[in-house]
Amino acid sequence: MNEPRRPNQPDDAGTPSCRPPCPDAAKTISCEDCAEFLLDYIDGALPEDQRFKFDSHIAFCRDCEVYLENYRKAAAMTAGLGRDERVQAGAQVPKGLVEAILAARKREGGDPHAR
Amino acid sequence: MVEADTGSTIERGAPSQGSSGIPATRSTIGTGRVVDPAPTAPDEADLVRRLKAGQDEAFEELVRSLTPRLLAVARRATRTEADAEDAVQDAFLSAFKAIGLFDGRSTLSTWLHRIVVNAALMKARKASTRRETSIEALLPTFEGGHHTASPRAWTGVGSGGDVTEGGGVGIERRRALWEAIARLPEEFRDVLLMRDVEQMESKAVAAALGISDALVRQRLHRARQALVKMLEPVMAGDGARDGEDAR
Repeated sequence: MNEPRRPNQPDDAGTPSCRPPCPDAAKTISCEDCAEFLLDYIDGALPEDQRFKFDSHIAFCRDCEVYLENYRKAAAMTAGLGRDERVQAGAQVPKGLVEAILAARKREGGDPHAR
Repeated sequence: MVEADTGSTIERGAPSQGSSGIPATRSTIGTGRVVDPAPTAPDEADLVRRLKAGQDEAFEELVRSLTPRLLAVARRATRTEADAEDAVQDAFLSAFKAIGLFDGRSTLSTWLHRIVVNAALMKARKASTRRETSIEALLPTFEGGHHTASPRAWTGVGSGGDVTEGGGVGIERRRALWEAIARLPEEFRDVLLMRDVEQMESKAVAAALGISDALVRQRLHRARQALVKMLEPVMAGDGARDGEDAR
């Protein structure tokens, strides 16, 4: 395969994504499965046996450890948008904006469903 | 300027929407999770009644009271002040047209919040050369069950998303985040906004969008995965740098 060599890739291997020793696929799960289960894992919704396999995989796989952390950070950042203090406080409204909005309503005829 | 489709992106698929595409959903912004519909307060019920009756004073009252916060919301998602102000105006005009369909299951404030977010994201998409992308193109790829490329750690972001650790996401990273959200396909963006930004419960989102709880979870997961992929160049440290947030 022609993918660039990865930092945690063994020198003599062409494909493994997990850092050695790569977990036994029969006992744990693949990186693809791991990525699929992330939401349930974070929410504590994974069944115990699946959670064990997930934890076992993460313990050995740097890629999935990083991916899990990035996923958590993405969710945390997005949640932060809704908690933005400056949004909560409101903005200084430029002079004339309110009047412009009200004038536009008059021009456009307001609510066709009202009345 | 008002476009007929302004504000329509969030509510497509919502069961109670009308032809205007304005959401009739419940939510709350940054004030905690919502499980049950919040009954409209008496004062607001009166305001809604007057709005539906077409009273000019009621519209002015609404615009004056909500514009500061809605403008702050729009500024978060747009690159220019003009776009932010246009988004607020578009949102109000869309809401005015659809006020007859407002059913009081959410407050006017939360209803308008989602409309303005979508109006702002629409502006952001127009300002960007990047367009909405198919979700498949935004998901991680695997070969033989393994990542085809090693994910790079988001060293520029704290474990709390910088939100709790650094007092706020820097302006460049927040811009990148908004742009990434804007690129999400609509059905995934809707769920992400309602679940992660507005912190609505999954069941409430399912009810608002008329889809199953399982589908809400699946879309949320895909949306987050897409954000992870889109944001990696910025968050892993080789993209934009944060500066002081002046807005």
